[in-house]
Amino acid sequence: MSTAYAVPTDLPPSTVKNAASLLRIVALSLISGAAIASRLFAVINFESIIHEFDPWFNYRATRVLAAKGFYEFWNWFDPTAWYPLGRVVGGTVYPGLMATSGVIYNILHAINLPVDIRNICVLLAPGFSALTAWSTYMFTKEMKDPSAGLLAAAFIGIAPGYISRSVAGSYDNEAIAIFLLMFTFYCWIKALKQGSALFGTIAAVFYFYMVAAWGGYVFITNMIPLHALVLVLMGRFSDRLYVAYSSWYAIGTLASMQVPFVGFQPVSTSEHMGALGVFGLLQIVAFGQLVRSHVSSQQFQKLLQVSVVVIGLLGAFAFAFLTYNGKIAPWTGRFYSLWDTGYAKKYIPIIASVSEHQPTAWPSFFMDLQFLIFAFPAGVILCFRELRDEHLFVIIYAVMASYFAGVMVRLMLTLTPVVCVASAIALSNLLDTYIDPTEPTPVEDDTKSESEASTVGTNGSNAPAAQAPSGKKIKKAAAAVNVSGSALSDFVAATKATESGSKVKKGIFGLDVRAVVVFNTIGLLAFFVLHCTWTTAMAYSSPSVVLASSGPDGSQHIIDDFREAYYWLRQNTAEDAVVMSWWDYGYQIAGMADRPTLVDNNTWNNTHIATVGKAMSSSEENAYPILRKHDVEYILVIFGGLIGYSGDDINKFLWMVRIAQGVWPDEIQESNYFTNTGEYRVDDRASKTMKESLMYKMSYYRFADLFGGGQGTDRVRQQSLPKVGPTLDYLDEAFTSENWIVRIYQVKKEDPLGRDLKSANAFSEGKKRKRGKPTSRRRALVQ
Amino acid sequence: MLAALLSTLVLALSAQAATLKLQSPKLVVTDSMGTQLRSDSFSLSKQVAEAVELGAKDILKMTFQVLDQETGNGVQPHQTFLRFYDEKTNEEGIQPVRVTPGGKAKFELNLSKPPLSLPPTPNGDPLKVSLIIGTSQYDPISVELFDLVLPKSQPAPENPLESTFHVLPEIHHTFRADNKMPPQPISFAFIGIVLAPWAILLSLWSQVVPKPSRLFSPSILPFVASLGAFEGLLFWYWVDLKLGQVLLYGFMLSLPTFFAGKTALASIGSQRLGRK
Amino acid sequence: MFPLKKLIILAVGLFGLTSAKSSTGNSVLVVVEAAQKDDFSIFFDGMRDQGYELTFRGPKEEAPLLIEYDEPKFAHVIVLASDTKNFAKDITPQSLISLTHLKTNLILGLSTKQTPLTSLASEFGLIPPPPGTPLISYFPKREEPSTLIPITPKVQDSAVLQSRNNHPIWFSGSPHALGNNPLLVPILRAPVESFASEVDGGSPDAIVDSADKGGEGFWAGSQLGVVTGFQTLDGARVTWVGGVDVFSDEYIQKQSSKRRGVQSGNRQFAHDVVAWTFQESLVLRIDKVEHHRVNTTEPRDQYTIKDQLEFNAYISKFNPKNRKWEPFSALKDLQLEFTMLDPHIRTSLPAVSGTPGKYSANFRAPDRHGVFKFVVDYKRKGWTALHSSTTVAVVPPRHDGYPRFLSAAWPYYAGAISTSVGFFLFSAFWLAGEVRESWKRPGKASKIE
Repeated sequence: MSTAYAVPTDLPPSTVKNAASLLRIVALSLISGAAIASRLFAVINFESIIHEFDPWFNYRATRVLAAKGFYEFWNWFDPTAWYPLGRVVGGTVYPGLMATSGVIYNILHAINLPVDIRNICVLLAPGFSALTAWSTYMFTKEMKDPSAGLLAAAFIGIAPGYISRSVAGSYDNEAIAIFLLMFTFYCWIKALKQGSALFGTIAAVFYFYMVAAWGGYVFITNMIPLHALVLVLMGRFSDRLYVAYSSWYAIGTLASMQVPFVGFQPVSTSEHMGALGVFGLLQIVAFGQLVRSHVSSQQFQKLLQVSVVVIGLLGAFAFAFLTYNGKIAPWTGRFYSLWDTGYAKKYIPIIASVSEHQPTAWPSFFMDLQFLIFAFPAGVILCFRELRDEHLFVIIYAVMASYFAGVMVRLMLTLTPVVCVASAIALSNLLDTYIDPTEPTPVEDDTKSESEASTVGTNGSNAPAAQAPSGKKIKKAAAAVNVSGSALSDFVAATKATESGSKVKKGIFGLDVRAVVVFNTIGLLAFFVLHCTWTTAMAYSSPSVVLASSGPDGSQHIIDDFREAYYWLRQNTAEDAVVMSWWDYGYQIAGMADRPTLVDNNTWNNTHIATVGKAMSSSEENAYPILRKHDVEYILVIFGGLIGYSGDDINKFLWMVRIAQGVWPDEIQESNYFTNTGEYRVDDRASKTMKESLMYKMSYYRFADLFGGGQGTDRVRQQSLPKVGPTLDYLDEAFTSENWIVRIYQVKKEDPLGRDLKSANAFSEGKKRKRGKPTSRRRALVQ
Repeated sequence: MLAALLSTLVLALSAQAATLKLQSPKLVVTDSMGTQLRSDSFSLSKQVAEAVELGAKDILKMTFQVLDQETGNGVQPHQTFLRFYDEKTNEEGIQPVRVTPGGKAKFELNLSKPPLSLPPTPNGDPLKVSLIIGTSQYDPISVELFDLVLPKSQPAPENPLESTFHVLPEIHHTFRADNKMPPQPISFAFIGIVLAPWAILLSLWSQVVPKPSRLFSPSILPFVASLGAFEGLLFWYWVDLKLGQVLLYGFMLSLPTFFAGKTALASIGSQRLGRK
Repeated sequence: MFPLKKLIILAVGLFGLTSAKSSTGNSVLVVVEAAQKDDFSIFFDGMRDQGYELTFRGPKEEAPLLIEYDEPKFAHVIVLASDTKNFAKDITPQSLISLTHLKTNLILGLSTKQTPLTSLASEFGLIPPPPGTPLISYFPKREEPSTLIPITPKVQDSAVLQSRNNHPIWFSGSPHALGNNPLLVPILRAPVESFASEVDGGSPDAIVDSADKGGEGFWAGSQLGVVTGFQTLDGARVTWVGGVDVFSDEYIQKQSSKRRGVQSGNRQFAHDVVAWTFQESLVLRIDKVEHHRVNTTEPRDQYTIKDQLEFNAYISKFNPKNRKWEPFSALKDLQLEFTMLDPHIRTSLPAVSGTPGKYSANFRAPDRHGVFKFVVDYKRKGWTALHSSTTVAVVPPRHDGYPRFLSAAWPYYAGAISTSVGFFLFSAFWLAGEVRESWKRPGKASKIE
């Protein structure tokens, strides 16, 4: 019996076991600590502030919940949003996130820890990321073993793909949803493995929590039935599956219908029909099993054929009939846009206008997952080797999530967990093989596993690297792959194996090969950590409310225009002054300036958004009646031309035009905003419609003055502007922030003398009106 | 200003008042091709009985001569106006008529090129046409000549604010129809249908006569009771409770249920396996 | 709501200070050439008797200023210097318009000369004729020159002239055509037979030419105004006088040349014009508005859809005689709108008999949720515009505000309860049931029944 390196043999197994579990606990807590700590860059670099757009609404809603209680929140009608339509918030929101914060807030206050609700909101996402790491550990443990689990936990803890949605201050639904997703999946796997109604129920409870927290619950709603369906089709139907699925579906569906926003969707929309169908199928199959145990197999075959055909036909007809009658809602546009990436741009420009709904660019896979994206396929393939029920789950999950992540940037988030799990499985397999001290007994040759070895070889750059220096031992390397069933997962197993492993035939000889591979892997992991830290610090920790720029000497300069402007609004305008802006800034205005807005990031009313788009893209005279009708007192635009902030309204302007065109195709035409040569320009060559549009005027009003008569340059679009800037007759400039990012205009009241504001303005500037004369009052009827 | 007024005053006083008359006043209506449709004379003393009607392209021609009543010489008055007036809409238009120094006046109203002063006639009401002649040294004349019916035109242009100065039409909101309740007997009938399976179940059970013999065994009873308590809690929630209370009580119930369920299922398992 | 409050504060504040009959203040600045001051002594004395404090200023004098530190120094301003071409630099058309924004009332004189005020007049929707063309009328036949015209106001002309008598109002000066601006309040219109022309020197041919399409315009007839009021949306009142001589001692004392003994109507006319312009007559205000559900008294900022709502407005009229605001119930055509973007409900707001000044309407809130406004917007020529807008939210019923235990739902209740009972019984029997011998058949016994 030989080992590659000295292994203590005199340890009692219980000591090894205890030490291993202690190490696991320590490792898990370190992983949690790392997960939380790496998400705090945002707080340290900037401050404890809510990030971006949607979180501002969640934060505002949470404050209402914490201050007024759950029932008031449930019935909350927000008259300041979507003015004057208002928003029934209680019925149009996933309350899980706010409820979670509210519960934490109340608990902390109950034990006399008066923590500010804002800090709870800011730190909720990092806190839940630790839980995500833990649940990923549990999930992966079910797939392979605890060591793979630890790897997976470490990966998910710091993978940028997940950090991007869960840094401190990113108080969004996804912050808790990924934990719920993984934990629900874990419970489902557990329930399936054990046939346990209890775990099925727990899965259902967490599914309910997920439904209450994130619209992405539909992913679970379809993943679990798909898994069950595949199992049934593979002939793997079992009582365990029946119990697990039935308990999950029955309780989970009933519970999910308690969320007001979801309501009857689980029984009335196409997205949920799969789960219902599989539920029905399982009943039929279970009944079939029962029948089979009572009748002869020949009879059963016939019965089966007939019943399958009949039931299939009946089900399809029922579905078609109900859809036709409108009882079941057909697929929504969002659903179609998952299959046809061009669909949204054509039919639902509002969805297409959101950057996170764009198809994913290839570099972002590497950016978000680094080497995991290469280890991921290996892990999936390793799942095929054993192909237990739960491995099927990972395979299906991997296929589905990969597709969706390619379609939409934001769905990268759902891909990240399975990538972490699969890569952990692959990596853990690799390490198991190479750390295993067991020396194989030399054999002649074993070509059988050559192909498998090369499979492993593609895992990453490590395997070829491992093979190259050990060229003379290529045979041994070829034999490197151990059947994972006998792969030794920890020292307990290792010790056992060494005791009884004298007959091991496959394995790795010597310490050098092991060292090369292990060190390579560790290097890979170390670079992964570096990459994650760098990405998190540089790319994902900006609150986007506060911007940072660095000077030529590396000094950091904070650009705080947004808050400057919002606080100006808060302190200088009437409390009921309606502020119009493009919908991106609705939540921030409501949250920071506390003023009514026309539209916000909850894009539920296309017409209202199109109205704002129309006002922005029309000329002043045409926009003014719209503004007055909606009681707009201030208009807020984002302008990045001075400082080079590219996410400004002029760059979003075409979307406003497109959305407005969708509703008023006669009045707004996108082509009018391009030059004759089809370019989108803001300089001298800009089209007349473009130059007269409210958005253009508001953006560049007085911009030329900044350059003292010289030619002004827009630093975002790199174009020189006309020396004479636009003039405004119906608006007054009210506020412009330090770097001109936010500009606020006040809408003038009607002229008290009943003139139109253009001529009133001309008069007050001293322009003489043309002498009038009595005009004809008679006009012929238009024939 | 005052001096100017005084001088005109003196001028006016020095003037001798005299009267004017019209000679051969005539009105002719032709269509656009020049075909004469109507020819009539009018006078200062009497209004023309029949209203003059003009089509969309017709032409009204009026000719007369202004003479001094006494000398018979032609006079060119300072003011020779035709006034078109709609009594209903209070719209007024005044059109000066060109008079030669010899007193000959000729006026042409061509509806394909109407003069600026012509008032709108949205309702097709007749316009009252009167002749106003005023000049120094003569008595002024203002006489209604005839009614003029013009084709309908668009109403006078109105300021958008104008409507807010009048009573606006009332607006009533149309409510969506209330949900209709089916008659209660139908509800009862459906309750019967819903409850019907019980009859079948109970009749079948009466054949089988299941005996919950172990119901009161300490391992089973707590679980059955806690399940019953859950059902009761949910019923209570439906009738009265608030969500917070339900979650609280439900949580409190769930722990004993969990353990009772473990014991109960374990005992059943062991019993069945044991018998097997 | 806001402007209403301001109006009340303003009114109450000024009420304590002033003894004038105006509802907005008693200080008057008269801009008049020193030489002409005595020509208007009766007019000025009449105003002093009303309790106004007059301050005089020549058009070229620098002080007192109209506006100091963005605050108007006088409640009312009269510009009688209608021939002056050059004013002191703080009296410009622009500053006069700012005065109206600051709720100062103006009486402005026009003349046949081109002055800065002529161009200002066109901002108010008046269309003055070219310079040097006074209003001329040969009717009725009289000894006075054709430019000095007795005008008898017609009944339909205006609510501004309170006392209707047949005394002619002597006028000389320039007429103006009225644009279609509804804020104009015609006070005195030109006679039917009158027209604007160069005095006798103007040839008849020139008149005909001016009426042609390419001509410089033709001003004639009763559509012209000679004295015209204007009430801005802010509530300030401005009166344009085509010839300031209408206020002069000479015209006030003038007797008709034809019928001796007929007094001129100018004194009463001047009084009426001042009373209207300086916010004595036809002045209304909304004291307060209330809204609540029918049969309650608590106002709410949220109502549920289909609630039966009651809206009350209390309206007062200024009584210049005793300088008090008195409840006023005589408005017949007041309307209430319940508006979200567009009015969803427009209903009349009739006076409540028994409670003076109270107007009340009740209606059912629409079945649309959103932010609604109770809007009272009462504009009539000559009267103060009343405007009140109160914002309330109309919300869907609370989650527990819907009717429950409907008969239509009984089958569902029965189904749910029956399922519950079934589940309970099944659990009990399955848990506590006997394991029969027959189940011990070889092969696996399904745990599920």
